[in-house]
Amino acid sequence: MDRRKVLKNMSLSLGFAVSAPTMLSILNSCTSNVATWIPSFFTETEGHMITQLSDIIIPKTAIAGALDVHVPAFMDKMFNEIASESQKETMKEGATAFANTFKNVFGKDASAGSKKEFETVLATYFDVPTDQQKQISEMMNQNKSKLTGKKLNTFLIYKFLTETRRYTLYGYYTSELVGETILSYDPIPGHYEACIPVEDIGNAWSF
Amino acid sequence: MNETRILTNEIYDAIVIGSGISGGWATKELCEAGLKTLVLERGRMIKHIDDYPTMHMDPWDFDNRGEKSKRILERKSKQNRTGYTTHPASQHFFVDDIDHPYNEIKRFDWMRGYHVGGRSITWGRHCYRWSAMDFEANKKDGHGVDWPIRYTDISPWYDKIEEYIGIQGENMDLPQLPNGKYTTPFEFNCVEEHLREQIAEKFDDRIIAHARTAHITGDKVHEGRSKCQYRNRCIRGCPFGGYFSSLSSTLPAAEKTGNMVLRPNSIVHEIVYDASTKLATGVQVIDANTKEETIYSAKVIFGCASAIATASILMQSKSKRFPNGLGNDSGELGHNIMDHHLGVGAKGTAEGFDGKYFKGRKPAGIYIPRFRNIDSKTEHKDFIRGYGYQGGASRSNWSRGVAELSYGKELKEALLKPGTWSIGMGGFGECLPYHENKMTLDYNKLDAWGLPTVTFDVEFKENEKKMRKDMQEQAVAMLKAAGYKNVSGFDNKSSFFPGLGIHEMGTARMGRDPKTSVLNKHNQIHAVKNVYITDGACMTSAACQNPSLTYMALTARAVEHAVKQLKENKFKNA
Ligand SMILES: Cc1cc2nc3c(=O)[nH]c(=O)nc-3n(C[C@H](O)[C@H](O)[C@H](O)COP(=O)(O)OP(=O)(O)OC[C@H]3O[C@@H](n4cnc5c(N)ncnc54)[C@H](O)[C@@H]3O)c2cc1C
Ligand code: SF4
Repeated sequence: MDRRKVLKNMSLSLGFAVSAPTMLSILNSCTSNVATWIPSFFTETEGHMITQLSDIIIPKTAIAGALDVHVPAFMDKMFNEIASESQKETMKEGATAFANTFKNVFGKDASAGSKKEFETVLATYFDVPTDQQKQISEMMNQNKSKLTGKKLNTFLIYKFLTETRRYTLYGYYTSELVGETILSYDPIPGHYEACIPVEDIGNAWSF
Repeated sequence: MNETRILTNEIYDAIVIGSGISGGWATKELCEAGLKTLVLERGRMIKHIDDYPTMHMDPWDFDNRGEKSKRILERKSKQNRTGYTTHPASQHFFVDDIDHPYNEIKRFDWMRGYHVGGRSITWGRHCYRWSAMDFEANKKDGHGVDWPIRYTDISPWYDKIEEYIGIQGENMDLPQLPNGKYTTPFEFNCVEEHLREQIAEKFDDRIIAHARTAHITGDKVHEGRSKCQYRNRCIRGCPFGGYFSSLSSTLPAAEKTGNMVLRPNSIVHEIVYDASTKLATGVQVIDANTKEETIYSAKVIFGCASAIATASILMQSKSKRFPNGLGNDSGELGHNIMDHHLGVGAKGTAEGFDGKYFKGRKPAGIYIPRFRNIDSKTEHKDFIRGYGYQGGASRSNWSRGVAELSYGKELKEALLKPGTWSIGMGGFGECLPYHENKMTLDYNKLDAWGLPTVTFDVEFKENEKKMRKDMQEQAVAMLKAAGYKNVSGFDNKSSFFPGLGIHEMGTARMGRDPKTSVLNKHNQIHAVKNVYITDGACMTSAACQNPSLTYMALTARAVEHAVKQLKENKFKNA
């Protein structure tokens, strides 16, 4: 798709202009092994969306990424078993708003969206200057029931994306693989060293 | 009452009601004095180590990473008011609120666990002596009644308890926080040490001390236990016996004497009184599982079921002589409920320590001893009594990244590193004894065993409110003076409810005058001399220190008295 058109569509759906550098900042991706899982809280399409997004938020590099520790399945289970009803509802509405915007922008269903396309959308919403970030967080603190139209749509998309981001971090950093082999793991320290150079430990303690 | 009650033939020397912190101590001391002792515990059996199912679990070993399930939140909605005790790591040590209901005229957070060991398994382990001024406070300012004992009466017992259970800490020679028998303290990490230096430099009325907690450090041998291994998972039960609990310490010692009979699932609901001897003869028990009723007899009875439960048993123990509950000639039984108020303090971030870290998770941090209303110089115009703070410093983890919008490789790698240092402190404030802060029994709302439920009518008042303001201001002032960034005070309104300090006490206070108190200076019921109450019910004032050490000391002291009385054949009840 032609870049100018994407830009225009995005700007329309967002309610503010998107800068060209944002659109150009497309990450050099490195694909993880996507584990097969059957979404239950999420639909197949939503499952594809959160898989793509979590892979972009915590990509696989030399170090394992979100998909290596099954973040999408973790998210699905958390939304099924732990999330409150209102959290569930907003997540679902947010996913729908995101999928619609995706379709408007790229002219195809989100379920067929490529990693690059998801990167483009995420960059649009997340690569924003600091002052705008403040505006966004204020906007997200509003009461959903008071919002309508474009405002509601932007609110919902941000909810969907920030929840996806939050659960990606949560699922990743508290996973067994990361906790035991990437972060510093020491279940029974045995003794205490009160003040030592951080290099002696390396990565943060896993708990 | 049930018609099918069984009267056992055996007469024990002593019965202890409850196996928590105070019951464990009563049992050990009674058994070691050679008395055949029956311990009646309403909850299930818990075996040291074997029954700590979560002690080795890592975050990823818990279903949903340890998020509370909907079932836990439904069943334990009141226990969940602490926010943390109902985590799957420890929720099994807290009661099911649906099975164990209580009523609230005003909100009261009654946090408890029914099982062998009681809350000694889950307690925070902070152990501070009360000072001479704490035992004199009521007399001095006229609130409540005077304590019938003074610091010198209890100090040898503090020595004994501290040496036996093992407390790490450091003597600071403060009149408001007496020295004790401590082992090598857990070291301060670099930010805690920095705070200590800064406060020493910038304030002359307060210090940063080491928290004093019941963890083993140093080389002294404590039978069956070993040194703390710095796991900071104490609330789940410790496989090393690194901290004191009834299960790791007092009950095994009692068991070893061969004099202890421990009967779990035994709900005591009445103490049986004999008007002819003016003594109690035993207790009435419902089996928690079979609901069978039994009466057990003994020469002396120790009430250690915790402040509220003990008062409830006494209130249910009605007779012609005591129509308002056993020993309740004064009308004070169930009144004067106190707790510590908390959830107020400050936090900030420390810069310049990014190159520093630590190894091991120590289960305690700093303590700031009381510095208000200690002498004429430190008098505060708005409130009486005082408060202390507990706190500590640590580095943030990956969750610091949640509030941002960043993503990708850099984010991932940045969050693998230790985050900013933060430091915080939360106050524990004294609550005055108010007669009208009370509990009653509701005989229209019975529990599953047909017993009346407890109704709370308790609130914090003006003195506590005014103190709180100062608690926040001073916490902010200290962190600012120490040069920390992003300093913000907090006063969590939803924490300002009695009970949440989990230091409930005062329901059967000690005193000099039987007209205004329930217990005498030996913890005996004034009018029923072979019943000793040594849990939090006995407390005449609350001070601001965590109270369990004082319950233990009073318990051991009372046992010595009871043993002497028995030897002198004072209790001719059988
Ligand atoms: C999370 C937490 C942190 C805490 N931190 C600290 C701290 O740092 N320092 C401190 O000093 N204190 C702390 N406490 C408080 C401390 O746990 C209590 O003060 C202490 O356990 C009280 O001892 P107790 O023996 O009176 O009661 P408990 O330890 O509660 O034991 C009472 C026992 O009696 C049993 N019982 C109750 N009713 C009956 C009945 N009718 N018949 C038979 N048995 C009965 C119960 O099942 C229980 O086993 C904390 C408590 C909690 C929960
Ligand atoms: S911190 Fe010490 S006492 Fe607590 S659980 Fe760990 S080893 Fe046991």
